[in-house]
Amino acid sequence: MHLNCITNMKFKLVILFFSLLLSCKNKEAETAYTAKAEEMRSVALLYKEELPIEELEDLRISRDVFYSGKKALYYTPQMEFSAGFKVNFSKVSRIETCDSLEVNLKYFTKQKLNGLKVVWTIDDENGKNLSWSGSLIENNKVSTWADFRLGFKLDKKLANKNNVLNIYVWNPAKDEIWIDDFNFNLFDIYYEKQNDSNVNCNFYYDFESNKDIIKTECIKESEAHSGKMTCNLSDGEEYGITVKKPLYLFGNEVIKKLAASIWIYPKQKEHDLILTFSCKDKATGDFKFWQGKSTIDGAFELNKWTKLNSAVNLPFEKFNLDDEIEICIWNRGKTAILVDDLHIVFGEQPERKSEPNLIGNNASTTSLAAQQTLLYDTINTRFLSNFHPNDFILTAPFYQPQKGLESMVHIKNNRVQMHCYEAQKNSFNLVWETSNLNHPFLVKNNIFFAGDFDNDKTSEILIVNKQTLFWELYHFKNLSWELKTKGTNLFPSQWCNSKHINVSNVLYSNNKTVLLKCNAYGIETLSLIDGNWTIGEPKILPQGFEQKDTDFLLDWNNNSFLKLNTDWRFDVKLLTLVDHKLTIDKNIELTKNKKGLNPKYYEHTKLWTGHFISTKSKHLLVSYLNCANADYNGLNCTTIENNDMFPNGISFYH
Amino acid sequence: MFKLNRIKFLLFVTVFFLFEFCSTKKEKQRVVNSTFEIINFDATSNFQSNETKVKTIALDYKNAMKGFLIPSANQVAEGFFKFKFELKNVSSSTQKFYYKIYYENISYKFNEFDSISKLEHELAQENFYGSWENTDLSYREVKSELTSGSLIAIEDSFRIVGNPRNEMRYFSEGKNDRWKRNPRVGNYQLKLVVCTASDLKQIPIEIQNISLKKNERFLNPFYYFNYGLGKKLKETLVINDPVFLNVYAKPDLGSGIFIKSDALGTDKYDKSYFCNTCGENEDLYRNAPLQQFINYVDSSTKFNNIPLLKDILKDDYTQIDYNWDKSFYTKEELIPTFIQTSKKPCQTVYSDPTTHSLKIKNPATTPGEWKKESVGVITRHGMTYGKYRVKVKLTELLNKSGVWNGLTNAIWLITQGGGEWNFRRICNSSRGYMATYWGGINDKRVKAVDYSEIDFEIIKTPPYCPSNKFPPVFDNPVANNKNINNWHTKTPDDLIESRDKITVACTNWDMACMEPKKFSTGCNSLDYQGKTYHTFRWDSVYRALTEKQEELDDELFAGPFYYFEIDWRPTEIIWRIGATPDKMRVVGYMNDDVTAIPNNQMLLIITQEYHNTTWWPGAPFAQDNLPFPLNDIPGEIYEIMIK
Repeated sequence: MHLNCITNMKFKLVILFFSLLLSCKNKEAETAYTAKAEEMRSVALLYKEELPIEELEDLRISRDVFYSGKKALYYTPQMEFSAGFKVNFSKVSRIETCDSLEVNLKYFTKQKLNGLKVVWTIDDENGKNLSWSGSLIENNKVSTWADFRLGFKLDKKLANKNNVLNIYVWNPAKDEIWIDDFNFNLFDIYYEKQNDSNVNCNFYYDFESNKDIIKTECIKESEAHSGKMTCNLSDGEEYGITVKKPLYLFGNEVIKKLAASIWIYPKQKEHDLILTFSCKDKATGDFKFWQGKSTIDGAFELNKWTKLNSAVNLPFEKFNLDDEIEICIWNRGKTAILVDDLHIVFGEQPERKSEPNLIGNNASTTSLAAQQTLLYDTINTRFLSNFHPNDFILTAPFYQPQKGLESMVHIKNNRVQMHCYEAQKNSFNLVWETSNLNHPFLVKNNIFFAGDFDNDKTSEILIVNKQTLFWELYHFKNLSWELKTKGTNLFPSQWCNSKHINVSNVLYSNNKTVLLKCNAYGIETLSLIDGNWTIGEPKILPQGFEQKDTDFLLDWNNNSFLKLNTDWRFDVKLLTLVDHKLTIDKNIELTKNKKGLNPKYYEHTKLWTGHFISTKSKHLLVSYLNCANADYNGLNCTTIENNDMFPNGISFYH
Repeated sequence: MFKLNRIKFLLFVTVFFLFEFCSTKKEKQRVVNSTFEIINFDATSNFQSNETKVKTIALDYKNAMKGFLIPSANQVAEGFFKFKFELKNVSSSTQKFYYKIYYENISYKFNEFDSISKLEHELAQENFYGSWENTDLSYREVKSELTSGSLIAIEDSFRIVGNPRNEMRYFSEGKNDRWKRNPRVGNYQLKLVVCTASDLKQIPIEIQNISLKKNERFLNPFYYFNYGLGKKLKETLVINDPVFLNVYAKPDLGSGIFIKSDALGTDKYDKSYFCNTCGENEDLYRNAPLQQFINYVDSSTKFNNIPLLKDILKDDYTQIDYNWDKSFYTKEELIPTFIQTSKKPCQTVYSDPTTHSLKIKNPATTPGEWKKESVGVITRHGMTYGKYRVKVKLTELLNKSGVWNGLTNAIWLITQGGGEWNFRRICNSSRGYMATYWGGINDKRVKAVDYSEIDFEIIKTPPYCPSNKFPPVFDNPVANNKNINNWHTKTPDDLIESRDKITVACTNWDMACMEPKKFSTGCNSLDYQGKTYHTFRWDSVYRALTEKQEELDDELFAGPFYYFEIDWRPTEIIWRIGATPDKMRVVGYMNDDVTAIPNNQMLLIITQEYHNTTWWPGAPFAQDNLPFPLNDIPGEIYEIMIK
């Protein structure tokens, strides 16, 4: 290990100058990305090094704030550069095979960072800078130690034993920050691995685009099976397209089988076109595997599109992760022929997810008594049909004449409506609405909760401004919403993420409304006591199951709750509370709606419970819709998708 | 004058023809040579005497476990056919005469004459023929010598029995197990041979005593007398009864179901469902034509099933439901299980004495029990060849969304087993049969095996041929609930039009005998009656040849009943289906050019069974991704006819 501490101001300025110059030049070449740890996986670790912070003794060390050991690097607002690494590549064996660099550190700051960068550079043996890359630490956590990890693909040309690698943290905005566990790794391969649980093995090529296709010369606009473009071998060309896929794309899945199909349009008799599967040894160029299926033995009519299906078993024990499987079109017969719509599937049905903690469906002992089915109710929900994931629906007995029945306040970005159930009409009717953008319910950056927060037997809507943390209580009086209480102290900021926070009226014996959220330690509560928001220590403890912070709890009947989690699948459990302990009583299933679809199939689901129809029992309101955002991960859906096969909806269940 | 003579002539001719016409009306049959005459041979004079072309008799299943008797004592007095004929000595000298009766099944036989070698067909000895049960009784002597011109009426009897040649192969512990070579169904030719003493000396002893072999081969008397040297005997007459005897089998499905303890694999089983019509009492043992069938379960049937109960046919369990359940159960939630067979015999099979039908059902299950249980019945009397036609209402396999309920409806023949006595014909290829059904690719090859099977298996799976279509390419789902298209994968476009179809798979297990001149692997074509059938074999050691055809599930199983027929013949097998017996259509055809046709004794099985879908590559629904049955799945068998 060789350590270099960059302290000379002039040198710093030179570095800054070159960095600015090279950042423009190398921007295109820069292939840095910010990735989560699970998106990178090494095949072989070439070299690693950790900064020996415990051994440093200078101004840049803090003994008061650290993550591990007894020391951490400390940037005062006056400090711009950290201690870092300088590594001569001659020390790294097989550096020429190095493909990627990973930098890890932990950081702690008390404010939002304004430009802190982790920088790595490569210089030649004469000190000439060959590459400069800097990545911002953005959207940082505050007042808590957080991880930062970066991965970079290393240009092969830079992986030269004569070059020198520098890594440091650059603090141009002079933020105050502590850094610990600062290390880096060099790997001999780089790849962007798919998320382990979402490995895509299916690939379609309709040739309308050349993306991912090698040897595209045959792709032309001509008579096509789909679209306009085809791999056109009408002149009897021998080779068509090729697709290559490295096995590391599939993460932990061992690919034992490969299936593919193409559509063939033979224009001449005695055709012999082969769909081939192969893998070559990268070192020798010899085939590790080759197999093909020809059109010779099939039933193909001339001048007609016919499908050729094929499947092969792969000798997976011969393969390495960096091996590439090639799928090619070989027109061995050199007759006039068209090819379209290549479909490739790697592997077979992937192994199912292992999640022991989802056992509440305990397979070996489940009886029907452990499952409860809630039935679809035909009550008209058209009044909520324009629900969007960013809307709020607040339910509580706001409207006194309803005598305990819960009303629904639906807050959209430009309109608020309140509906109440009318038994005689068996429908929900509009009681109040507004489109006044100055109304507190329509002010931006507000979040809302409903309940009897001040325990005075009337229900309120709690409005919290996420930015200012100011809060207010409103109640429905005289056919309008009036301010009841204006908070004098701030609402706790960590309770402003409303996605997994709900209210409960039954957690405590006095039926006081509290906000609650789940974590592994139990249920945290937030309640209004004498005008102050007080966080309660987790007293309600899960028994026999692992609770997650993505669990969403809803009051149900008597001493029971519904627990919703949609991390992996729509999973609803009925929990009972006895002596501050929550146990799983039943799995909850929903029946299909009138269109024969179950809400659990949808990408975005939301639940509300309440005495909407009757004061004697609760109904469950379920919103189910699909999201058009391509990268939707369950958190933020900005655009709803209308899918003919899965029409969106919102329904009652009981 | 001329005119008068002409009138007399015409009168004479008229009288002559009238005389002959009357004679014909009286069915006077006369066969003559230079030595004697045989008149009015009637092979079955005490049975259906009014029939002039075909006399029909059903196999009597009562007390037939030791072998069928034709006729039985319940059908004809004393249990024997009486045959009669008149014998007249037309020679100039007193003669001694001898006679013998032969019978042969002519529906399921090899032609005795081989048109290529011009000799006796090599396989004619396999034909089912016989004479008197006591094979040592060669030719019977007519009571007394006949003087010239004298006439004698002779009456004798015979019956058709199993193992008519008294072959030692079918003996065990000194007993003649005639049931091991039961009489065949179909038409019988009844033949009388009468000869003089001098001709008798010329008839080979192996023809006189059909239990004897010459050069390790039986000699077929029908060849001998119709084509061979016997045809040239001057003082021998061979007379065929012009009336055929047609034998068929139609077991009474209402006469009970026998439970065979060794089929259950244990002597400790629940007998609480036993009743008068189902069990193991003496009466059922002797008379029940069927017993409950217990599938053999091997370890390859193990799978991990989703923990869900559904009535797939009624609950409208859709493709969306299937795809969801396929992705969103964890490993820990799956139920490790095997395909089950009944532990409570008679619980799932019922013989109805009122309707003379059989009811079967795959039983419902409950959470915790989690079982997919197969059900079926099997006949108890083995036979060789025949047209096995069943009238059944078996379960529908697809619901209205095209989702499969996991069952295979099977109507099939299986070897009666037994080892050497039931060995198939030797496989003369250099390598023989694969020795066992379950042995893998490294199984040894042997000259003979007793294993045989001919199947109808009706299941949701794609055809193997043409080869370009197989196997369909299915997307792998991704269990990502944030994107419907990840887990709700598309049906391949080439399967969409088969959504409401199931596949009728017709299979002959030939144990990979390579003797057929067109033995082959992969997809090949075979033409029959203007239609082309596609055979498929995985590889040269695969023990079966299969043809698959897609049919509408509703047509076969949504109606009140449907007919399925396996027409098993010595050189070919024809599979037919149809809504009525007179509107059957061929769905499968194989002959001995492409596959070794079995010649041993087999039993008929009808099942609704669960298969591991790894046995059927390309199946769009995997067994372990289909729910357990919430309700019973019934089936009914109305008729079994073997002709």
